[in-house]
Amino acid sequence: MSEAQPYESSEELERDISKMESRAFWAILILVFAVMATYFCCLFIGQSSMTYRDVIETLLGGGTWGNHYNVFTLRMPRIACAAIVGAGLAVAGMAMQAMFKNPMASPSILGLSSGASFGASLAIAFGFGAFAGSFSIPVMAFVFCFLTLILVYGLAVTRYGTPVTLLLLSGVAVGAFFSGMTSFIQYIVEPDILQGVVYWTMGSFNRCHWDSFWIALVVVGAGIALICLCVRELNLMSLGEEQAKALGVNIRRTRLMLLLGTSLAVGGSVAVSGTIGFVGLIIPHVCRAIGGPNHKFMAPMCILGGAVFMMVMDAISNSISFTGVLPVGILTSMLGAPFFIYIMRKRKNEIWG
Amino acid sequence: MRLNVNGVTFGYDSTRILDDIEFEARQGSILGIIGQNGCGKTTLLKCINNMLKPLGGSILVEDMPAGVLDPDKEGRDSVEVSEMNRKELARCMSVVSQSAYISFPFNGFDAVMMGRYARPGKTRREDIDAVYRAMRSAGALEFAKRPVNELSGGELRRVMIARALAQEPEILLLDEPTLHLDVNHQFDLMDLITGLKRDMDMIVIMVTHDMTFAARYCDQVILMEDGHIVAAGDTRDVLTAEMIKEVFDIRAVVEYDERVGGLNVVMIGR
Repeated sequence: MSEAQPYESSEELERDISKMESRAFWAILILVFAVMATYFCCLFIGQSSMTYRDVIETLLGGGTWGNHYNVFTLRMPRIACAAIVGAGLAVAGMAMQAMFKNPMASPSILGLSSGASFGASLAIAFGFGAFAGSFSIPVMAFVFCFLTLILVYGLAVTRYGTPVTLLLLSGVAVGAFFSGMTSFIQYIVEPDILQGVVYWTMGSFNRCHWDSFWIALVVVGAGIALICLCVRELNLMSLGEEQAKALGVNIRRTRLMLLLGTSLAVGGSVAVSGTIGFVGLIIPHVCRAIGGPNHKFMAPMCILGGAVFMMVMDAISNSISFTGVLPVGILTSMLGAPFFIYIMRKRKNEIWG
Repeated sequence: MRLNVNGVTFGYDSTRILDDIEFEARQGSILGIIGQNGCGKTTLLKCINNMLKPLGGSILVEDMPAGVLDPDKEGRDSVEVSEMNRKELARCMSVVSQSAYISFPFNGFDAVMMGRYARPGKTRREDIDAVYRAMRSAGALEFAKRPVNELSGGELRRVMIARALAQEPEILLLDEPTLHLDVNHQFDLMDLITGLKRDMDMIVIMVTHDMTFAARYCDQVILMEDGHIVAAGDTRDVLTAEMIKEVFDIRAVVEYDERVGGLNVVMIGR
């Protein structure tokens, strides 16, 4: 067209765009170091009273048997679990926000967390899934996470496709049903079991050992990988189904992969740590604000940022103690709810537009 | 290449929206679909790119050019739209729809780059070149770094047109392309589209209710009313004062205007 062009050549355009993208690139680089640094720093924080000198001595191979046990068998797996759960929940939140093209979506919106909690509560309270032995809780959490997914998806399917509003509404309904059922279990069980169920629904890493870490790594890792395979599609999906379709996305397959990935990531997370809310909402939001909405950059940022965030939250919950350890889920909820309200007010246009 | 629409019908449970639609669109021409609100124009467009599945009839692409179909179908001469997968369709045709609100703050460059999904270049350089060309043609370069959810309707439209061009399609489907655009950008856009049909030999199908633009730029016109075709053919044969009176119930004069160098519609009133 006639007026002067802002860019004389495509090289000029590329330079300018690269300049913009370098910001996300640096953020990723910084986050990589932040993950390592946070992991290391968190080793110094825990329930048992150990001085900094003790920890360093133990890490270097010395120290007493008790310190050795504390660092290698309690703290290391706990922090590693926090990192992987944080990464999984953040990426799952990111995938859902893109899928529902709504920046308020998060794993709890599809009722996934509630479903997984119900399954785990069944295992804790009545010993369901005993065939899996000591893995009964994680197994039940996965099973119910998938069940919720299938139920929610099945309820939302119509002859003309799967409208997002219907998907969200059935997620809310199914989620409400499962949290009601969880409350019902809490109401009828014996007091000593109740404590276990309640503690678990509040979310904590303090019962995580290496075996829970390996479970989390495999399951959550598979979920993250599935989601990361779809980064290009995520960009297109976040435009809405019709546009994504018109641009060539196979909606059915992509959505299946994303839903499967999400439920693996959430199911795995819930299984090792209980329900921890709002991570899937906060982290993608912050990442989008820093690095832009391109999922090519957002996915790695969410993985790393989620890990850092959760390790820090866990460290904080381990340093404030009233009567024992403060479950980290309480902390993220106290932080997350105000954040939720903040974006709800601040970004009205994006949410309802 | 030709697009052949044969007896397409579409409807929901009780209402019939399209009834036995039949026409052919040829390469290197602009086909206008004209009619009042709710006559089924947009539905027809959605049937063409298989967003909606017709209840009856078929939509056929004949003399399919190379590079559109997947290798297993490559070489076939005529293919039904319903047989193509979404990627093939995205290489074959692109759509600029009426409203395309984007909730996330992608910048203009990212938004146009999404048009390359079905036709990725061998290198990123190739894709950037294609995006650059598309954005320059559509006059969208100035929005390369702006978040698209902050653009006005007309500005967003230019980004969406750039994205459609980045798809490098054989068929361009436009739903009310001049809506929300400033007058100067309306003319720019129509010049661009005329250039595309001439230089790229595209099939352009344009839904519009702007008869002045249709008269001036469309080679063929289809007049629709209540889901069926009232008249179809070359613009000067179809877009007559009598037809306009019949479909829109408006008195108009249609005449050759040498200042315009083509047909001009002057609307007088009811």
